[in-house]
Amino acid sequence: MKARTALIGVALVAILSGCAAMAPNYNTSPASAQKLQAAKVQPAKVGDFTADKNAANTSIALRASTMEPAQGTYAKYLADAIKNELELVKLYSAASTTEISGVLIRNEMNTGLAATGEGLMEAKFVVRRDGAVRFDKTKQAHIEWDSNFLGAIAIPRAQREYPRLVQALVAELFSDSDFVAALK
Amino acid sequence: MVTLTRWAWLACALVLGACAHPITIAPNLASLAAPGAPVKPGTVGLYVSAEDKARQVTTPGGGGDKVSYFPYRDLESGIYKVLGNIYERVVLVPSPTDVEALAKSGVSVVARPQIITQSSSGSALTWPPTTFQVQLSCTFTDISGTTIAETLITGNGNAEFSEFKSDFSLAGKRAAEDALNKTQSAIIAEKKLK
Repeated sequence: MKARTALIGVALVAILSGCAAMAPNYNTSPASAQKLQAAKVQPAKVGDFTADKNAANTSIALRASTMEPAQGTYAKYLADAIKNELELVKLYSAASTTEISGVLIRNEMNTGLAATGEGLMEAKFVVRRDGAVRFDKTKQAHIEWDSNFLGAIAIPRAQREYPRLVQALVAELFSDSDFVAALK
Repeated sequence: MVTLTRWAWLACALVLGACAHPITIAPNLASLAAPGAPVKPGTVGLYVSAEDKARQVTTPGGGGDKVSYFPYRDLESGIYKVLGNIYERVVLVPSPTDVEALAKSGVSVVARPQIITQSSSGSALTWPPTTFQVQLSCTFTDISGTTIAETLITGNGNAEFSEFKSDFSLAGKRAAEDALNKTQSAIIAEKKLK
């Protein structure tokens, strides 16, 4: 009886908190993208995004679970996020001579042990026009959310918050007047 | 020892049962294709209140569990994209009644969405919903606040275990995408919206 209970317990723990899950799709933030539209910038394209060797690029650990991006890497996830934002306000053009590229430096989600979860993301962004660098800065975003002691609740909450962390980093970038000027 | 184990399992079940599983029903924006060039002239303002964006709802899942999500936060960019597919320009507006600000931003019509959701599951063993409904209504007003038109549609999404085992929100996302695509068609067809 004890052995069966233990087996059920192990299975439950595995099901509830030991699986690999996909990161949710990036959800664009019209409020961020609209800033570019209002500034009347020129359409741009998105170039290569790579990751620093210390950045979590293919998988983020969430307690006993992991979260992986559908794109294969979180650098590509970030690139797609910027592309989606530009497309939302019709400012993406694959034919543009203005290109946004970047390097993912930090990409961390901490479910916390109880009350508060935290996310931290940092990336270097470069804007080039006709090959000439017009913008080169590192931006950082930090978010918090209500977490939980139980992995079955804390892990999916952290997964749900990941797009919000990327949104926060993109908002930091789009709010930078030098970035906006580089796209004009 | 046996009594202690039973109490521990009961406590675990109560704690888990009292909490809803967090999901997101944000649609894949690539599924919201434009019908071609914008079909209606002018600028439309999209108004979603801060209270709506912060609103978290809880609806049933399977096995007696529940799911929780933020319908307005998840669907805002989808609604924005649909309006952008139809109108020449779309802007977020902080107030649907600030005539001066609306006129200054060139807005001629304001869209205000309302979202009601339902979910369920026929499974007693898994918590993700297998059936999801998103009822999306959009009220259109002119800048003086007079209602011009209203669209009301219901989007449906279904997902079976073999599909949602890698995406627990799949039925919800499908319902959101269905609702947004149907809303796009309804707005285009609405003659009162020029």
